[in-house]
Amino acid sequence: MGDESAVFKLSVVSSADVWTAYPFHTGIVGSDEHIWPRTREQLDAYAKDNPLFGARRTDTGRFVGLCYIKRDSDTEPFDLGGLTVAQEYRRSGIGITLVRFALAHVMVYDDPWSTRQDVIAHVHESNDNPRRLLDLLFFEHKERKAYPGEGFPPSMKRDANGCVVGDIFRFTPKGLRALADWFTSEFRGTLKTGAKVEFDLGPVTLGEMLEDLREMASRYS
Amino acid sequence: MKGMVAEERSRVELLHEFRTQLSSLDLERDASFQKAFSEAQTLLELSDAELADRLLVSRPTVNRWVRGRNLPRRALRRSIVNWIDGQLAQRIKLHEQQATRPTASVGGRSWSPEPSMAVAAKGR
Repeated sequence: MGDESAVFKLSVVSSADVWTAYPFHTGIVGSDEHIWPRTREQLDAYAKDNPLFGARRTDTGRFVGLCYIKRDSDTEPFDLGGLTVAQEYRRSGIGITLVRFALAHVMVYDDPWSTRQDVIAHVHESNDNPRRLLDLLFFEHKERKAYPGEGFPPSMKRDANGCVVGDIFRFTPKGLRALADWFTSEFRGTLKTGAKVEFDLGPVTLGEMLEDLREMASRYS
Repeated sequence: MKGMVAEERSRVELLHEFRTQLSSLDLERDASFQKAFSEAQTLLELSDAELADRLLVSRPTVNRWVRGRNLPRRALRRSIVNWIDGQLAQRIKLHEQQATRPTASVGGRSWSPEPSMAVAAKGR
């Protein structure tokens, strides 16, 4: 699960960092049938066109987790997905911390609700792990959808009609309040393993991000 | 040479003027932040991707701020404006150095480095 002296830095992954993120992605992609395999070029495009969030060990620079919040247009929802965590760090809490960071980041930097854009997550019908995580983050079930199977990775299960079936979950005001409370009251700068967590926000401090997060949480109550 | 010095000085005045505007910016007003951010991008001569790298955000996030589509919240605006102000101060210093730099004689002709090249190198 990783040693307690480890320090993890969470930040937006720049296009220049994709060369380190890609080996992490390829190393993990075979371990879970629900992970969508990406080429290096696709990952690079993700980093350029969306906020791709990563967690790295500061001593080695190695990635231990990735997720994205994708936006296809000015009107489409913001789509949280692609959460992957290195095998040895699963159950350490780094995955949910990364997702919390990504959500807080997108809420205060992009304010999606001001333009009536939801933050959603797609989950395959047979993928249970993200459901538990989304439940903890107070996402609510929005709808179930079946998509034609073409274009989806062969590893993903299809229904009798050859469709990939999944559920769409939506981030809620209750989730936003819980997120602000977690950063303010529960988070102590470490994971449950004792490993330290730092957030790199460039010229912005974590305190400033939390000030905005708390203001939003009270505004959307 | 005189023309180049005058150009540097007018650029410095422009940057000073913009810094003064920034200091009294109403961050509560979306349109004020959007306009200031957009003007700062032009004055700092930075692309969306360059700004995104420096602010640790994605390129579309910067693009949306420039267009006034999705804007950052208030505390972030304050921090971003402070960062812009710091960048402008660096630019001013650089332009002032350019304007006062003594010329060297190259092949019997006076010569000084292209200011825009020096700014670009410093800015990376």
